[in-house]
Amino acid sequence: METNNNILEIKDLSVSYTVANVVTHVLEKVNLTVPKGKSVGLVGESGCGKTTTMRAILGVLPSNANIESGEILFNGTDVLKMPYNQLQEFRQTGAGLIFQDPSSALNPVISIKKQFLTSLKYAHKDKNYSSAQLYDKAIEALNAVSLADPKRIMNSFPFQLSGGMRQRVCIAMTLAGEKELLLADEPGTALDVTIQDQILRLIKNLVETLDLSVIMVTHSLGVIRQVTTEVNVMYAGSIVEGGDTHQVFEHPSHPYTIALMDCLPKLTGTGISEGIPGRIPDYDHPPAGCRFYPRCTYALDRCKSEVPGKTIVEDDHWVACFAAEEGKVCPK
Amino acid sequence: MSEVILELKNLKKYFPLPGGQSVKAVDGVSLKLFKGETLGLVGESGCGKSTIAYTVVGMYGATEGEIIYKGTNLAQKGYKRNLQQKGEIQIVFQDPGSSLNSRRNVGKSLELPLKIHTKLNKQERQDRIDELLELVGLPVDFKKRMPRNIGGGERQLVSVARALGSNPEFIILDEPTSALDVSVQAKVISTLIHLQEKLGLSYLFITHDLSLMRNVATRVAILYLGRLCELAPTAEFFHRPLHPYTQMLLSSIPVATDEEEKVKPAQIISEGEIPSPVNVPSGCTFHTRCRDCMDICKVEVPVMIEIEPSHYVCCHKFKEGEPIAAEVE
Ligand SMILES: Nc1ncnc2c1ncn2[C@@H]1O[C@H](COP(=O)(O)OP(=O)(O)OP(=O)(O)O)[C@@H](O)[C@H]1O
Ligand SMILES: Nc1ncnc2c1ncn2[C@@H]1O[C@H](COP(=O)(O)OP(=O)(O)OP(=O)(O)O)[C@@H](O)[C@H]1O
Ligand SMILES: [Mg+2]
Ligand SMILES: [Mg+2]
Repeated sequence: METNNNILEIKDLSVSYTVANVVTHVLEKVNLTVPKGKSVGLVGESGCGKTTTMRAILGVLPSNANIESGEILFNGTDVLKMPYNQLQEFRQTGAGLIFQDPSSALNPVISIKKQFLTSLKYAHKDKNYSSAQLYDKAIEALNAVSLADPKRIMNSFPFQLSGGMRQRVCIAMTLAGEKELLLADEPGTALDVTIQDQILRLIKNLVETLDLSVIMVTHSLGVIRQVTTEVNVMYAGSIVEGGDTHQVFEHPSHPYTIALMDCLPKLTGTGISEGIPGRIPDYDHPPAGCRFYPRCTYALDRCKSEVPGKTIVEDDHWVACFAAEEGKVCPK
Repeated sequence: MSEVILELKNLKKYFPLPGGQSVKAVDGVSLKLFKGETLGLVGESGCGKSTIAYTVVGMYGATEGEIIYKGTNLAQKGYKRNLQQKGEIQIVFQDPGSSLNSRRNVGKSLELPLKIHTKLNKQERQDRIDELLELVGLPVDFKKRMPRNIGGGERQLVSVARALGSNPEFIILDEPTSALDVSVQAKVISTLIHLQEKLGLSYLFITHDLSLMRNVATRVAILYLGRLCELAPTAEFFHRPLHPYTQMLLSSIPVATDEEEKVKPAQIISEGEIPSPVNVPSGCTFHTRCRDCMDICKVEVPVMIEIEPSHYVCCHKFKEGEPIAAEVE
């Protein structure tokens, strides 16, 4: 793959957190590539490190996080080595993040209008827009995310809006910034399906017409299937399976991906599963070999101590699993 | 069907805005909830689902209408709910982060409703807390943990345990799992289902996740701009949705596999202007987005009819006693 076709390349990124002198090794050699003008999915259980990855890209990790190793190349330049001015520029105009939790992204005591206009002023600072032009842009963006009466919304404080309305305000604010790379962390959790569908279409449309590149982070495999062409499945800080979205979902090959897909309530009405037994390992002493080993029904002896490399499943689809490599994983 | 535990009659909740207008968050909702069932409530963001929930538990006063719980109208002017009624109707909130007091450990959070709603002494309360944790499948030593030191799914299970403390008969679940991942969601939901069977609970279940609804609800109700547009038993609802809005909803469900794609109606793309609850459209409030809109829809408000036994719809396309045209099948 040529570097210049990729807007973002994460190489062997490892990130840990320190809490009360205990170091937790969360991200373990994450590799992830976003081709320009494409939308790529990142899925996985709660706590597997999705938000940590997004925050690392923007350089907005909490203060107790440590980048152990790796590179994050944005258009070929390592974000981790950018001087402050360039990093600031990158955040204001290069990449935008839709935060997972809309209540924490909005300031509760400042009106939506004030927050929106401030964020737009920075995103478009080289364009010299007047306040009236910025206001129009904001209204346009609120309309685009299907919010009725944008003027009432502009004059509201966050508590006067429903959960889904707050989330759409955040999405509108990020999209109106017209960045090159959009990091969307669970953008649809509080939305109903028709609105979610319209927003996903809007994002898809921006990808197709404006060459926007997207990383879509969500628990919803259905959303991933709808908007992305490639997907990465993350488990306990490592990416364990990836490739063409349709191929991965039709032929899941990592025992974790298979278990995850079994947990989804199906429209076919087959009942509710009990969830994946066990839980994500503690990051202060993660398993030495494959991190899924303690919960895996297909585990082999070597999985305990060795970390599996990539095995090609089909054309554009790989998995990191010894059992799959030996052909011992068979989904129901 | 069995005993009616809760009935809403023409329930309204308006929020006044500066300048004399108001947000008609809930605008005339009537429905019944039967003992032991899970009634699913679905609808667009901002259509009034949480407002119904908060009005039923008494956090908001109703603007108009009746909330009849076991024969008593809780919404009558000047009525104060007694302790028993407060204990029997419980709610679990969407946000597992803010629903528990961050400065209280889990044991203290669980003890509070026991102090208010039961006559148990200190030791009995501790025993009951152990029992509640066991009911939701959490280890007993969770008592000593602080909310920030447990996972989102576990926090949500603690909220369920806390709601169970006052021996409720009826629990409102306002998007209890939308902040959780699918594996943790499966644990929480299967726990809720086991509890329902064991304790005979009735649920009003609010969620956007129609695939989840398909697997947990007994009946499903659709709310649009503060009014109901369709209500039907779950299997019927998914096999034969009648209201154009319901059809649009079902066709927009994001699914993960080809197999599910096949059971989903063909995509109906949502278009037209999305109205606001401040200036509600005339006639049928959905007419601005309806692909089957007729002249009558713009002027006359449709009424809810029972088109088939237990299948209710509120749409001018359907007339009481007339067969359903084949094209909607
Ligand atoms: N500031 C922090 N200090 C210590 N540990 C943290 C911090 N932020 C996150 N973690 C831990 O890092 C791990 C990964 O968290 P992260 O938020 O990246 O997960 P996620 O995949 O986004 O999960 P979710 O789906 O719940 O949003 C978790 O175990 C979490 O507890
Ligand atoms: N305290 C309040 N003051 C003013 N308006 C309010 C208040 N609470 C809710 N509203 C308005 O009432 C309407 C319904 O809100 P509600 O929270 O019931 O929606 P919802 O169906 O629960 O939406 P969501 O799915 O996004 O949670 C919205 O237009 C909202 O702005
Ligand atoms: Mg996250
Ligand atoms: Mg709500």
